[in-house]
Amino acid sequence: MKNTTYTMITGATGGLGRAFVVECAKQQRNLFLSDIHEDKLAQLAQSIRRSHGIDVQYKALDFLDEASFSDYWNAIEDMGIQFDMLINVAGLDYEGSFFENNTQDLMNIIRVNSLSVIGMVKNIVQYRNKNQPLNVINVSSLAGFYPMPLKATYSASKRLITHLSIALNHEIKAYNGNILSLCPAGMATFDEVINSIQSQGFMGRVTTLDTGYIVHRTIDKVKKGHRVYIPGIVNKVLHFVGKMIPDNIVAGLIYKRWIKTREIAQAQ
Amino acid sequence: MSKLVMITGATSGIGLATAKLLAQKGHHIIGLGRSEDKCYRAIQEIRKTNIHSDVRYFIADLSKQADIRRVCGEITQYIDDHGGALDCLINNAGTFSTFYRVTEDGFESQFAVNHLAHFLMTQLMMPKLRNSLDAKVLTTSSGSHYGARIDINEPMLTRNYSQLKAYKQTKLMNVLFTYEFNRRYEGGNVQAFAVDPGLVNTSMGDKNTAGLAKWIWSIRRNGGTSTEEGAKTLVYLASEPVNEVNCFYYKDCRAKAPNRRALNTEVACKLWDLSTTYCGLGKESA
Repeated sequence: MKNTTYTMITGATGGLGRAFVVECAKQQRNLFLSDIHEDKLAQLAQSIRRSHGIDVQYKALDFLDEASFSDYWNAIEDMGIQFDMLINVAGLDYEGSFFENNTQDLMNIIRVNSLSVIGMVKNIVQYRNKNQPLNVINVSSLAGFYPMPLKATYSASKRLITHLSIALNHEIKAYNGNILSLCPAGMATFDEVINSIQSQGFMGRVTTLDTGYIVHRTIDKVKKGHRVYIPGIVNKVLHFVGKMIPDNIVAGLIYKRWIKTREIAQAQ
Repeated sequence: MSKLVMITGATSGIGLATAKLLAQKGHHIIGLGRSEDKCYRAIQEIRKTNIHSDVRYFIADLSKQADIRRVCGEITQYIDDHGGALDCLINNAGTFSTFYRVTEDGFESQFAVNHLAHFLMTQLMMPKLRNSLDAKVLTTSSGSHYGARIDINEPMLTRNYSQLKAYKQTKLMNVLFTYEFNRRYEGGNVQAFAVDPGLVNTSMGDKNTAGLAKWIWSIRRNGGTSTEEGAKTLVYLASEPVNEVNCFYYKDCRAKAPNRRALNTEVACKLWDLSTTYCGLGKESA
């Protein structure tokens, strides 16, 4: 009998999204991919189908367009498919301080990073395979644990994801579900991030972990019922120490570090 | 006699040096690069040594199979307008990445660029290579393949990525590909060779790297030879007749025995079939 249960991945054509796609394909999970770039989705879907022999469906989704969101879920309804996993990877950030960025861009960070997660988790429950557990991975960030000057809107958007995920875990039990909040530091998925890691020096390198390893561990952990995953010992220590220090002092230290990092990056 | 030679990764390092040296000998060069600006500068560089060089560059990102197919279509058209035969394809483009990165096609980046791109490009250019009386496919491998092993079930090291292991593995794949190519096309007019250029002072280890790997390469590259020295075996094989039988691995313009793992027909065959599937080629590459 044909397996009609799928894993849904948002932001599937970005660096981290692609890593999740490959890991899930390796686990022989049928995939339903979404991203704003339909051409890239088509290319990735075709390549994954032939390299892993699984079914890969896709549909473009723009979280800044309400009609696109409705069309997306209507298409799923029409296809009659079910899900046992949702991986919310889609995210957005802009370089520069709060006052350097325009208001619309800052509001879009909240829309894409946070409001999207609310919409996706709410809907996926309706289309879950009722005979299997439903696992949800929400990609948050280590930044979500701290008030982070120069990435203030981004870190706030990630804090919403982490808090929402932890809280919803108690509600989603009624649907045989589990939600894990993935909180990594740097992910070296494309050139700009690698340059940024380089300009952060030693701290950038030790807080950056291998993406392939992280996505494998994340899926393993959500299946085991974990709720928060901070990859790497250094990042776990940073999180622990951060909790001991008042928010205002943490924000001051982060501000100094980012200013220095920006100066190094600009000098390069 | 002037030959038509196609070189990937031809905007810097060994690729550019090979293009320059072959152009000096009067051969017609088709170069490939990722950046329009770098392609333009490469042409200027080649014409500094020979103002009348017959040289044409094409832009493509070899980490994207759609781009490889597009550019091969364009180059095929160009070759059709210039005699219809490709005498030599030099698969030289390469990458090194400290971090596990997945390309837009869903492949680990070193595997995609250092092996799959060569495989796909060679298959797509085969009709033009077959039109030549004595064609060659040269692939830039490395002495690092001697210490490599391949897990054919996990060629992308998805869960256990190691930058050096991934690099060395792709260099062994280059030799396995060459071995299997000659086995499959034995008796035909196209012969394949894998080339070890030695340690060459290029910028390859500076790109997509960070931390210790970047630092080590910045020191190690100083012990390397010039790019011209690194290019000499490619230039030799591309321009001279080679009469040694059953030798397909070359260093310093001389045949050399490769790693015995590169002579494993079963692994070579599996890698070929896997690459055929990953490149969506079906039976056309059998």
